[in-house]
Amino acid sequence: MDIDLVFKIAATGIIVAVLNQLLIRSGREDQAMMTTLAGLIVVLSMLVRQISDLFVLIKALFEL
Amino acid sequence: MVIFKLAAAAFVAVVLYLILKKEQPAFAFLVSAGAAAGLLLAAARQVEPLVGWLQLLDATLPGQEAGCLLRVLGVVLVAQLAADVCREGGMLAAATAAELCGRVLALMQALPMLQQLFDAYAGYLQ
Repeated sequence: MDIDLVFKIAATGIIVAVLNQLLIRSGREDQAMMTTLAGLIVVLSMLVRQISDLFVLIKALFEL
Repeated sequence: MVIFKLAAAAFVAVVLYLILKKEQPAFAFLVSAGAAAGLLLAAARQVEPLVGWLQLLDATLPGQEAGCLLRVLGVVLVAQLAADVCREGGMLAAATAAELCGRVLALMQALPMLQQLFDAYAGYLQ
């Protein structure tokens, strides 16, 4: 049961949320945006790998 | 029992989703998509022995219905996942389009079976 992916995504999300608030409060909105984008890209790459594993398994299982 | 682990995982994912929903909706959506993929992966691993048994059955049956049935099931499963992930993200039109694609492709997969049915039916009529 690979729940650790969900934990990784949530942890990244919380860190980005905190960093976002920190940067916005200190007046650096553009850097806050950059941090959010960077976090999104990291999480997306993890998620794409998980979903590709899922589709490979389904393709093998259902002879698609 | 696997079902308790899956239920606990789903529950934790919902809590994390709600935490992230206000601050970072993008990450909340990614958490829900990741949880959906993880749960479906676990379900697919659980259904593997059943599919093996169905393939065994397929060898004994005259036609190739079981293989066809399996493919339709796979197509519908993936299409439903895509449609629901789109709906989760708020894209209702894309969800409807994904569902329509799923139905059309499932029908395409089932065509050989329909063909067999019509051939058998035509045989009876003559």
